[in-house]
Amino acid sequence: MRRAVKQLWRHRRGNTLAVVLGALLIAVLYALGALSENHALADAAATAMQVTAVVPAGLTLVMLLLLAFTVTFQFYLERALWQRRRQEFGVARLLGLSANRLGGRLVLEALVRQAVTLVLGLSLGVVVSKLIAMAMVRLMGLHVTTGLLWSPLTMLELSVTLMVVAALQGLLDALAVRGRDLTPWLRPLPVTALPTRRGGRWRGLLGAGLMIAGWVVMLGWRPLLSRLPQQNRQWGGLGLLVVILSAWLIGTYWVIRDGLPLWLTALQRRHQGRWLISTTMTLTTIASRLRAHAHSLWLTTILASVTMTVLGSASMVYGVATAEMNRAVVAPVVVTAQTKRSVLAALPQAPTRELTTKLVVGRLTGGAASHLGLYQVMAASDYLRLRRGQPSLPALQLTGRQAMVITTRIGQVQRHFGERHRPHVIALARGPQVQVAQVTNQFPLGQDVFFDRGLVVTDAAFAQVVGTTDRLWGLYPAATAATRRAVNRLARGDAQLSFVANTAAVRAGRQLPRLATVAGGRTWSRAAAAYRAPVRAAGQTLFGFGLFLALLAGTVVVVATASILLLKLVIAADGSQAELAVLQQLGLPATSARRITWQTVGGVFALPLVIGVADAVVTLVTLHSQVAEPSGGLAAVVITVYIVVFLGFAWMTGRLIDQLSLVGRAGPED
Amino acid sequence: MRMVSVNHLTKIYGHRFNRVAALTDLSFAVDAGEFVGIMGPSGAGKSTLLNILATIDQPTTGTVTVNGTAIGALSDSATAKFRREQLGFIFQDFNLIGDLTVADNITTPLTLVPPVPANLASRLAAVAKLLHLTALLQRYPAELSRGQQQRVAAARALIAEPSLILADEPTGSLDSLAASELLGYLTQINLQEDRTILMVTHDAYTASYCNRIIFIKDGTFFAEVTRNGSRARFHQQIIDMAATLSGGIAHAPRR
Ligand SMILES: Nc1ncnc2c1ncn2[C@@H]1O[C@H](COP(=O)(O)OP(=O)(O)OP(=O)(O)O)[C@@H](O)[C@H]1O
Ligand SMILES: [Mg+2]
Repeated sequence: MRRAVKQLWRHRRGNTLAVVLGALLIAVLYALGALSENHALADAAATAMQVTAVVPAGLTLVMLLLLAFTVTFQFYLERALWQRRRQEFGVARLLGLSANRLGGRLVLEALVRQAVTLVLGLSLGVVVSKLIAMAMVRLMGLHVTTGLLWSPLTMLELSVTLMVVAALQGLLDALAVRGRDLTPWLRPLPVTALPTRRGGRWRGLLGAGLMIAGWVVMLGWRPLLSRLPQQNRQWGGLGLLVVILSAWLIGTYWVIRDGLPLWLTALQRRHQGRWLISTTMTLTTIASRLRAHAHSLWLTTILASVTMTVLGSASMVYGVATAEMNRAVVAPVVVTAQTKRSVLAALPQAPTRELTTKLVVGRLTGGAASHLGLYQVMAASDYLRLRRGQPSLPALQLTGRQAMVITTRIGQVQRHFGERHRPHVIALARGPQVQVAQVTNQFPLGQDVFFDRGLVVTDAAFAQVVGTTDRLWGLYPAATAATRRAVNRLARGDAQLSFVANTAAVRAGRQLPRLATVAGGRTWSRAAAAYRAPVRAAGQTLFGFGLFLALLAGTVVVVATASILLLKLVIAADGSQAELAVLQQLGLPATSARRITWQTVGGVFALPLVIGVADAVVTLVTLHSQVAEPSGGLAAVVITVYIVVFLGFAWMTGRLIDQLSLVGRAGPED
Repeated sequence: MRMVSVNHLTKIYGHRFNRVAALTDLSFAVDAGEFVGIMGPSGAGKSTLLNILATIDQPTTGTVTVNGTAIGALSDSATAKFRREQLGFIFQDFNLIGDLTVADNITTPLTLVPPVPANLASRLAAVAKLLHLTALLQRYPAELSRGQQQRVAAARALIAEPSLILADEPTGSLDSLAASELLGYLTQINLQEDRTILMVTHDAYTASYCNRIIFIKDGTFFAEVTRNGSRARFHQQIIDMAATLSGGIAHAPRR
């Protein structure tokens, strides 16, 4: 035990990083676990969303994902630290330490380090749980206060899992030092074996081809998909996606492992004897880093791509969804004559906006279509008056007998009113025949309290329509806690509906549609009152929760992947800083030496970033073209933040390596 | 003309309770065009001395003047310039750059700062031919034997045609033929081009190529032997002095 602690201390530079990063990951894991077990939060979220268990389930899912990620991350770190001590292990065995004993020590070391990491991480977790909870509550628009979260169960779960992981890791290390042949252990790490020239070049080229092909296919996604026969589209699309992804994964790996190192080396060979040593060193060092760390660079690149894509699309979806919701949800409360009195009693001071419609049956004809529906007809002047408070409603350009149809079924709209068909006409049962000049999916005051379709006609035409008067009122109560309670209470009450009997007499226009509070026979129906504030809150809670999870996971992934890169480069720098020291002894100016360090770090960090950004942009552009009303602003911001964080890590790496060149040579440690 | 003058040089490693005096009050001088050998038991301070001459290490007290310049007082960039323009150093442990090919390793001193000389390729070819490295130019140091690595280190020290060459056991890993060749070459550039050479060695035979040997013991000047006669006689003188130095037990000459 004492020996294990001593060994950990001897290699403290790498171990500190491992412990600190591990502790950060554990802290986030703990916070997620504790949050998922917090009843107050779950209840508040469930009330707001009107669905139970979404929050605990989502948190647990993300926690499991992050746990898997943490295990991978620790595995990588452990390997890196272990690699660095190869020679030490070789010498120890050469001098007679048995493989079993050495293995035992490695297991013990791994356990001790994990224990330290857990103690640190869990303590930190208790502290940050409050901050993370606050961020979540904020994004979800909930009104709950949380203190420090205390969850012994989560602590136990995490401790057991991660100690088992550490033991397994130690065992792997122990197994790896068992080899009979000691010679490879005693040599310093082999200087990066260069790829075999011919095979490598082909793999590199093929890899680049695959990557580019992946991007091209992704960008041409829609036209490509529409070539497929209708019934094969779903599976075909899925298959295509799988093919693109695999091609891209393999291609990226080949480019990183074979292509780039070879091209850099070839470039440098071509300029042999013409370049300054600083250029040569930068290129060869980057090439050798790519080659030596192809695996983790590949993983980092994939994670960077995935993270940026997920973050970008999550924020894009968040933007689209919120905009969509705000469009659908106009007045916080909408009532009909049926519910007006009781609702006004609960919200006496709410200002109102009124819309008068006439209910009438009409037959739509045009093309091959013929469809009988119940229309809520309104006058253009009324529509325009409401539009002033609801600017997303489209402008009107109606003359004479022209009309605008309002319907949510956009697909139907596009099919029925496509330009290929001759003009559509609606024959109202008792009123004029109008011509469809415009179509929209946006209802004045919001869509729920409409039966089926709305129809905007000129004031003159409206005067000629004979129908059942149906008035709607939008209520805009002041946003106070009392209102919120009152609205929530109303919303939770029995949903009241209004009906119109769909009888032969009504359809034929012999009878006016009659509003009723009970269903009988075939009917059209609608809500008699719509409470939009709770819906809006639920939406905000749900979307906010999604965004929260995406942002949290994204942050953790970016920090962890960038740290793996940092650690690998810092470890590799032990060697390269010694080489830079030699160059300085030969007369290389210190500034040039520093420039080599920074350019190397920059080059290695740039690789996953550039490929990742390219992937994310390609995917987001494709996604962008699929959504009706795209908003890329938030996605751009999120991706920019990602890039900044990543570059921050590059900067830290450069700093660490720079300091290494001053400190590293003095100490007897290495 | 004085090329190197070392005055009361002292170098103490460590601090307070753990002090090692690697050099104590060492003084000597070397004229331009001399080929001086430095001998002494292991741990005598030879490498330390060479490192200080090469401005890689700093003396604790004392001064070193090279070619009229007090090298201790140089700024960082002036030090770098001094190393580039005046100095060729063959390190005891070679210090080759593992990531670079042999060719790039050898040409390093000429590509440290712009401009890269136009005749770089021909200079590389010449020095590679001289040290039998032509076939190895595209290899990496890890793919070479130690003797080959040592020749690469020598080529790197010589390509820039420095006025002062410092060599720390340059033949330590060479077989006798290769050693003779390198020493012959060093002698040649010493005589024909008037370059000053300071060479550390343990080997009396290697030392016999020099024209003066400075013996160091426990970090301080012990004795000096100057060649005036045949090399065989000089060789014997060196063996005798080495015997005196190590307290009567003669080092068997390594051949
Ligand atoms: N960095 C250091 N820290 C502490 N002591 C040192 C250091 N470098 C050298 N020494 C000590 O200084 C003394 C002189 O070392 P130096 O390397 O100059 O010997 P040397 O004459 O070159 O020996 P060798 O023939 O074995 O190469 C030795 O006692 C050595 O232990
Ligand atoms: Mg020495």
